Amino acid sequence: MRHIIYILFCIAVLMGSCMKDKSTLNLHEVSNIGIDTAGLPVRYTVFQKGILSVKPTVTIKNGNQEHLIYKWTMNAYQGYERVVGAEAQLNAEITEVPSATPYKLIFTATDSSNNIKAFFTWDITVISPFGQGLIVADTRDEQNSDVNLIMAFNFTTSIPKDSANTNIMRNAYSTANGEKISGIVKQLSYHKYNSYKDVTFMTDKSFIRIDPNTYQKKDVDAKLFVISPDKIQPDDISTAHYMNQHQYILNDGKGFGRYGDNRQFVYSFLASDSKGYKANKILGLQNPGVVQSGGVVYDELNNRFLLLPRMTSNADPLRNFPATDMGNTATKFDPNNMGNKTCLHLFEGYDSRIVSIMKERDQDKYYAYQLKLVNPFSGIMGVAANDISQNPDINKAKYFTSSNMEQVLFYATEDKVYAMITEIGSPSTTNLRYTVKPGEKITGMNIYFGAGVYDGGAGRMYLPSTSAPTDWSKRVTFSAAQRLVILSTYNESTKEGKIITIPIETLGVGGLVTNPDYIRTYDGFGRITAFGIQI
Amino acid sequence: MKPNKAFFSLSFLVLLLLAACQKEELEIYKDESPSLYGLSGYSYSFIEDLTAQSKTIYLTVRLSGELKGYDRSFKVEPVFDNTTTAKPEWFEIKEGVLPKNSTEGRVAIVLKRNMTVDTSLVDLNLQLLPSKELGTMLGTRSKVTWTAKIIQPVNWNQWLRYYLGVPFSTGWYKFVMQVTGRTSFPYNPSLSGADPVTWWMGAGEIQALGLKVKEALIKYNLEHPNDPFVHDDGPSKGLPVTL
Repeated sequence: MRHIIYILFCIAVLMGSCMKDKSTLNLHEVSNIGIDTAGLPVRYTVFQKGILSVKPTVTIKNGNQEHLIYKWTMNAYQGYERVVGAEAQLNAEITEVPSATPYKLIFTATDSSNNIKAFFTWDITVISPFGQGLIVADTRDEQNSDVNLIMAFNFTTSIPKDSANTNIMRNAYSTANGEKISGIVKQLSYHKYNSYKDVTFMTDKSFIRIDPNTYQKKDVDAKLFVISPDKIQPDDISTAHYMNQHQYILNDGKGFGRYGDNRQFVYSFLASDSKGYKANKILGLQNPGVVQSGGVVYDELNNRFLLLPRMTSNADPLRNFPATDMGNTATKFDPNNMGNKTCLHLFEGYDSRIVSIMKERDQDKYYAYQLKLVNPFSGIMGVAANDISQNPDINKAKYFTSSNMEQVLFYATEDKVYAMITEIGSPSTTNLRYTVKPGEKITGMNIYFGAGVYDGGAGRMYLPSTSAPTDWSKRVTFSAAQRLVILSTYNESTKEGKIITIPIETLGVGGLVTNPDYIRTYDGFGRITAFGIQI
Repeated sequence: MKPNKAFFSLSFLVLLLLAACQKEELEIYKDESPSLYGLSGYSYSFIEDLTAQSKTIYLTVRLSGELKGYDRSFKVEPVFDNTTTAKPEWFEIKEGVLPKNSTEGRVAIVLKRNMTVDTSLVDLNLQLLPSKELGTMLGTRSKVTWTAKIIQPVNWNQWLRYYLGVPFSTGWYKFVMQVTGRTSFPYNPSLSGADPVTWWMGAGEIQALGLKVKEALIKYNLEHPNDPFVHDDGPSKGLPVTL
């Protein structure tokens, strides 16, 4: 009997082990954080100093939303990391340096009770707020200058419509540098080679170079040269940005060149011969191509044009033009002997010709000469000469420009713009094309050049349709390159300067558009003393 | 062992141990013979200032010994052995001074220039002289070398010729140095990778200096129409310099 009791007891004990063990199921489930980015882009483009807003939805299962902590960081190569936010949604100023390589924005949500994390990343491209546009230098006290940048339909490829998109960065130089430019800026020129960019400003006594990404001052005077010239006295600047970007300056009568991303000018061009040279004007051709010269200077000392070296050979001396073949009917003048004339203006015109506006030093006689550099050099490079002494108001003309699309010379007095057809010779056909409003005076004129071949287009403009010229809705969009005349004006009584852009409607005769709907005005400046494009 | 013997042995050991506790006077350093040592040498070329007729250089010595609160003087004398080529009238040795509270003294030596100096290297051996107050120890001798002779820089034939002209001559190199205000042109792109400290000059700078020299030569020849700048020695002696 006792045995049976033992056996039963043992069985009872063994059966106890058949009971289901529920102890291991008594667990907390881990939290599950979800970041919902539905409807959000995977990459953003933001201006430096702009606000970046990203609003994902964060959910948590098996956890408490209140235990979540958030972290937003901007990341780049070499361990760069900056915390830009600590909320579930981002709304932060982006101060990162503009870069072609996108930054990585990393969003982390962490459950603080158990350190479980969830991530999401976006590509953020930071771009300079100083994009393609028109750089405008102005003065409000006639002592110091500031610099503004107009980004608008006329000058900026990324602004596709002529609407309220115009963005003017006013006083960009003094904002970036805490001071104005001492003196009056008389010329400015933008230079870009691949990712290298700068803008050079010239006053009567100084060169100032800035970084166009930030508008901060970079180099001044001596820093522009490998060996500083004895005297800094800026005369002229000319930049070829169409292709094979290079730049020329004149300082104290001597020319200097630099090519590509070289920041410094090597040394002044040596004279072509023992006569020496002293120049006030220098011009670099936008696309010199195979020609063995990058452009010309006018030698005031010896009344002649001299050829600059090839754009990549800035250590070479200047060259004389070959002896002119005056017997050839194609020859219109001798660039080696221009007579007692001074060069007032030098710019590029029709068919890559070099246009020089000249004046007899001791008489009120004016001329427009055109040089065409050919390969190989020949004795017939003086291809056109116009005596423009009889042109209306020519003795009051202050500003000259030309489009490479037509054989027309624009000249402006203080209040009028004339277009003269140079093709015909002297006397020429000259028409009054534009008159400024009463009280305003023209302070500058230039053709809009457009961007280089590698720089993605140019600004745009509207022209009346040929079939329905009065119907605004039928207007046609054109590239503004070489078709937009830019004027700067100043009203002495209101102390306001303006940029006025006037499209050339009829090519071949310099027919500026007459319907004011097609003319654009950018106002609110001081007296504008120089302007030029930024690409 | 008898107790007495053990007792004495122990006592002896204790005594020995106690003896170790005796205060012993340590020998400390006494500045009985402050000495000067390490007279430096010097090499000078008048190329650094081609118009100068003399140059004062300074040699240094170091003190082994206590600092004193007053200036002490010392002397250096020439050693006219067979490796000294300088004549007594070509130099002047000033009295050396060890300033107060300083371990470094210096002695001025005036190097003079003459025809021999202009055409060769001049050597002068020197020796520190012990005095009552300051003895001498290691490194009491040194050598000063000076010259106004211009020698062709090692990188001329390989690199400088393309910017500063070929061939080399003494007069032409003097002209180059005067125009550029430089006495060396450390441009050597084939060595600058291995030794950028020595060969630090860039292509842009040597190119610019070359143009400056060329401009000056053109100006010189224009100002001397019947007397162009010529090489004064070397393979093209008497021939005009061309660039």
